[in-house]
Amino acid sequence: MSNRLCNNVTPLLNRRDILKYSSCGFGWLAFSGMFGRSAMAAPPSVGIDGPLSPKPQHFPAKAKHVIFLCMRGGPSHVDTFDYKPQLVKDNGKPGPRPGSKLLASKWKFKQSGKNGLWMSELFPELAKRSDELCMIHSMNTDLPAHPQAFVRLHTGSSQFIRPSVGAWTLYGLGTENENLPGFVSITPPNGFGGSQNYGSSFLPAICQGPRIGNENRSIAGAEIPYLKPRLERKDQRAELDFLNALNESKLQRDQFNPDVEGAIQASELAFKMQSTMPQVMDLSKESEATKKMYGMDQTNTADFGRKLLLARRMVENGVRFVEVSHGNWDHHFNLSNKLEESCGEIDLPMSGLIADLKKRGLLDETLIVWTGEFGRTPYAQGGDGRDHNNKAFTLWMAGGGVKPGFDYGSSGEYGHEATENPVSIHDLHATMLALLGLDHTRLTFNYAGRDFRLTDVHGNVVKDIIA
Amino acid sequence: MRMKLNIRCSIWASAVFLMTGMVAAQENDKEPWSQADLNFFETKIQPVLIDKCYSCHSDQATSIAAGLRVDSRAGLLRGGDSGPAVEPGNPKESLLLEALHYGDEDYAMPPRNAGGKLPDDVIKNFEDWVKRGLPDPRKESELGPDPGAGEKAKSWWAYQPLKQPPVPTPTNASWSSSPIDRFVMQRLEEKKLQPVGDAEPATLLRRVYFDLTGLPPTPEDAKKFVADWQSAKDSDAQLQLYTAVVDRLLASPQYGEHWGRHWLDVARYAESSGKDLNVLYPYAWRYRDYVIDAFNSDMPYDQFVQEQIAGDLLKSKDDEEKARQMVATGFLAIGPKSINEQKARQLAVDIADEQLDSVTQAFLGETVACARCHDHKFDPISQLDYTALAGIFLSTQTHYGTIGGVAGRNAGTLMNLPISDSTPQSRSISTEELQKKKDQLAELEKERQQMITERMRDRDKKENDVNRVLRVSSQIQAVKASIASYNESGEKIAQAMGVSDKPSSSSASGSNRFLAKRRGDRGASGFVSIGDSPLFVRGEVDRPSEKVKRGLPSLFPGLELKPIPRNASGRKELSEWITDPKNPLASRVMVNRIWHWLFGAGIVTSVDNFGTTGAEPTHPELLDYLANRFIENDWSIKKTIREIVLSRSYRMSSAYNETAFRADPANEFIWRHNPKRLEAEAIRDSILMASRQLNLERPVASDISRAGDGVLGRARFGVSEESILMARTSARSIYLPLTRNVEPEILGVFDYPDASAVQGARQSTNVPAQVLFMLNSQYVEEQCRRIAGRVNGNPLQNQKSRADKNRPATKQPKKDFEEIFDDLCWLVYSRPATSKETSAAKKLSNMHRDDPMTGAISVIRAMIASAEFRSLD
Repeated sequence: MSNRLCNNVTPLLNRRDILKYSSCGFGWLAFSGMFGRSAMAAPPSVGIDGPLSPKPQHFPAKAKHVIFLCMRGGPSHVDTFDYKPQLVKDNGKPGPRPGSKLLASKWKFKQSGKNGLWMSELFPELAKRSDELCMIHSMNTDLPAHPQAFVRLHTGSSQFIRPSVGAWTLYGLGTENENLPGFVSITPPNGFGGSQNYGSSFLPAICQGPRIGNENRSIAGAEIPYLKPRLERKDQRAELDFLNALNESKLQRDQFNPDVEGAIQASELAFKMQSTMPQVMDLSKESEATKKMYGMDQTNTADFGRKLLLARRMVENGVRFVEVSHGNWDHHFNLSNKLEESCGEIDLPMSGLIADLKKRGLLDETLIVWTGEFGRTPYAQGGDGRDHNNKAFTLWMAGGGVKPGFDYGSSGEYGHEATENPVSIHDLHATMLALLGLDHTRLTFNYAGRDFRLTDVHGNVVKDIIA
Repeated sequence: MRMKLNIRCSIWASAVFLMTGMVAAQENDKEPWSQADLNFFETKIQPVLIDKCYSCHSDQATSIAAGLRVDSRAGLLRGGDSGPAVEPGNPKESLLLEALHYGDEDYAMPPRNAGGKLPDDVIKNFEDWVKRGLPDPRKESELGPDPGAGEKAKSWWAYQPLKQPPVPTPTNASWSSSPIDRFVMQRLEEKKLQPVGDAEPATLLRRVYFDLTGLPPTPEDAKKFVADWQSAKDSDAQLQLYTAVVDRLLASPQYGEHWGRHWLDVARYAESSGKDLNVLYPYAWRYRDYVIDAFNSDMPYDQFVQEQIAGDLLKSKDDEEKARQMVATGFLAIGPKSINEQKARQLAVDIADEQLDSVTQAFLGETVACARCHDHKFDPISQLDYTALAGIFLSTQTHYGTIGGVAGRNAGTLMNLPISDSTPQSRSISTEELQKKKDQLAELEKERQQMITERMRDRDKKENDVNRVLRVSSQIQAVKASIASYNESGEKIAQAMGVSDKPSSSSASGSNRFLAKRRGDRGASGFVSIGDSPLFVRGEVDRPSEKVKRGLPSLFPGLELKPIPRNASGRKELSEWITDPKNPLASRVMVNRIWHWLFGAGIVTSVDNFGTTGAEPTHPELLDYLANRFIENDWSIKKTIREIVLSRSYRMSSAYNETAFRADPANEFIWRHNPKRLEAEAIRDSILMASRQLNLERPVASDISRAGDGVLGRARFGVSEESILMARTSARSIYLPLTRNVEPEILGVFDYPDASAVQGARQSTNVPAQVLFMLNSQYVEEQCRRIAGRVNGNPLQNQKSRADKNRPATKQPKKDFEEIFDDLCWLVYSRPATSKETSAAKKLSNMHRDDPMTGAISVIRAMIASAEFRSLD
């Protein structure tokens, strides 16, 4: 942990600092009043204010950080993590949908690790970490359409604009390093809800995750542009103080304006990110051995490997929630080649990430979640493809207080539908928050007189997977 | 065939979605059944079906068992959960007969508790029926709508006819200045809410300038307006002042640029294909200009819609009109495309799907494309409806004009316009030069032929000459495209993207087929002429099933469905159906878009989705009032905008009110004006206006047209990704190069839409990246330097930029800091400075006594980075 930037940064601002720091001192104080309105079960601890001040947890946390690996498009669970011997036997027989034919996985499954988790041969490297994985085979979501399911996975609602799970996490936990964004989304897709998936909706705008790059481009060139200041630090600070004064006087005139509050928070964070972000993004100090671990020396894995190494560096430096997107898993056609390609790109880097976090003692406090927005059908589409399946898919977690080497739930003999211990998106969110020490029924934000939750009025913590 | 069904009766009932069968006409109406066949069906089969099956497998059922309907031939052929129920001519392969024979207990029919197995002679009749080829005159269109979800969807508000709601008379009668206000006030009173006060004149002026033109008022205009307002004798006189401004702005060319840009969001406008290869569209700009002109000339919206869908099929009075109508169809051609798609058939179907999706979402707020693979899960659109519409677009040739070769596996043609070309690259050439090109083409073709012959001769020698063949083929494509852009005398032809109908018989394009075959493409796209689309099972192009006659969905009672002539694609009929005043969606969707762009939130908040997964209107009567007015006013967009912005509802302040906010935080009932964030283009344009860099002239064509054909990112005539990102031109933002996935970064950082689909509502983020761009980009600093020069009258004015050159170098009297800062506030915020701001600015400025320019830049940059600059109250 010696690598943390926290060493050389200031602690969170307190009231006195704020007054000293900014020329007006109004904005942040206004926030503390503002966010005091939120209905967290316990009030924020005394002396530290602001929307991202660390908040007391509802119960002891297992994890402090989340790395959310989002496979956009809906990976086929029956070809990867959900072993279906019956599907192999019944290959070609009628499937559960009219006119459909069951399609056996063309990849062999093997057991690995002490607990003998089944995984397909598409993940030879990850199989070496199978004793760290906790698989949920009974995930399900409400719609088999990409945009709706993708947004629902991220916000719990496909109908209304709601804060993303990353924003809720940051809001609930507070920042660990106020010089970095507490939530970052690495190469999210432009479509499928776009910024809603890392947005803050009615939560303070500072909870929104800045995006680095986008899905269509490689991460190598992606950066947060314009981090290099054009002025001496002192002069820029003065400019920013004036900017804050302008924003604060607008806020004063408007009385209540979340956009202006957001602008003030964004300005301060931008100022700080100029010095911290380049260090986090700079992979040059990482050893060759580490880069190799993440597959950065191989063409097909270099891109995802770089993203995961970045994710580790962010977590290490106190970013609460890092989402890494990978597309495209929408394998309607040419499944045999495309799925193999996609898995090949992520297998080694994920294995490397788990090993690296473990080595650094960070795996216990970092929850890794791997999932798509839904799964795929056990029956064929056009001979060599699979259709969307919202009724069952497999998600796995690692680290962060989940039972290692553990299988949970079932999707029946074919993987068509969650049959045993079904887990909904709300259940997933409730469980993630629980692992972070937050009670999803008590993590609320009062917006215009109503207490909102990530899980709305739903969600059950899947206690069985918590170690 | 012993096909075992793996679904048991008990769960049949909960099975799939229903075919709603609302297509105007079915393919089976042309089946030539003999009278004997028909008699057989009507006497022997139909009574049994009605008696024994309809209660579970037709409209009469509350839910269709196992998804199987036996009340039409199409229903039987389509089958249910277990696949087609009947294979005509082949009783042994027909599940229906297996069920009747009680072949398997799991699906023996009719069920034991419903009379049990049919007598053998009846079963025999069914066998005969199948052997005869399933004669069955019943048409699906004659069926009533399905009960259940489809029917529920049909009662959704958006599908109901426009009502003529009386203008309400709220208790507070004095507040309203127009019928719109009375509708708004009525709802406010119902919710016990009060409107906040009217906006201050400076705020109102800035709002209406940006909302109508995307630009701020000049400081002079703003000061004059505020002064006139204050000296006006009463509120009527003030309203008159304001009305004059509104009329002036609506008449300015900047109006069309701003509102045209709104439309380009809806039209997913971009100058490249996106997707796999991202091939440039050098002619897309003609559509952009068409849209701007249409808004500026206030083209009636119904005509605007018709031209975009079917302009090529409309009557025209002269060549100029003809050209305009052809360019309008660019709407259908500019969408994202997988130019490198391997299967021509897949590409054809995908293009038709994209067009269908864009048309229905843009004009109707309907997501019909969901029905490509299955019946719409939420709206009353069946896969048959979809296929009937898809046939219209598959009968349409899309001229997307990419050249093929290294620029993608698929090449597209262009349309030749009947006007002269005005673009910079329109240099005509001599006939000798043209001949030279033709010779070059012949030479290249010879070379390719030679290579092919060599390859045939020596099949082992292959790998290394593949690239040579590809290179030569690409050159051939490029030279061909070049030759095609001249007429015989070497004059440049004006070309455009767009669509036209395919030939009406396949023989006409026999050569296409031949070519396609030579390319090794199995039957190429297969859609070479006007014709109906097969229903693709689950949307898969490899699984075409029955053809579905081209037609329009019968969504709206009373709206006549004109038949589509055999030799026409049906686009014209489609466009007329959309704009028929009896179609309640076209007008509702458009007035709602207008409302959204003016108020920051639609009366229906889901502006692109009026289906059952979308929102319901907060003011249904107001929406219908506006829709009716729109139609009455000859679909005039300008008149609609004018009526709205003159209303008191629009002129409200955006002030916060605790009580109202608690009751209605989303401001659904319009107790105040929503504070909005400026759109990316307005942010850039107003910075450039402040720095006097903005050139209000419309540039000819686009940087992308100058770049010419090719793949984005590969160096071509000076248009690199870098130059697109940097966008160093002085034109308004709508004229910047706007390629998919690569857009000018100043636009991208402020939520420019990605043009992958219709997007009537932009996102609005508030992130550090925006602050960093403002603080640290050289571009913003340059503009701040110019602004400083402008307000300061300092030496910098001598280092004039090109744009300043024509300005007389007047000597200005030296101003004091307060005056300068006040000027800046008018320039950036359209209001005077406050004393608090002035002293804060002075403090910052004083830190740079030794370098006043740096101090001035710092002050101005902070103002531009501030929330107020980019928010519209």
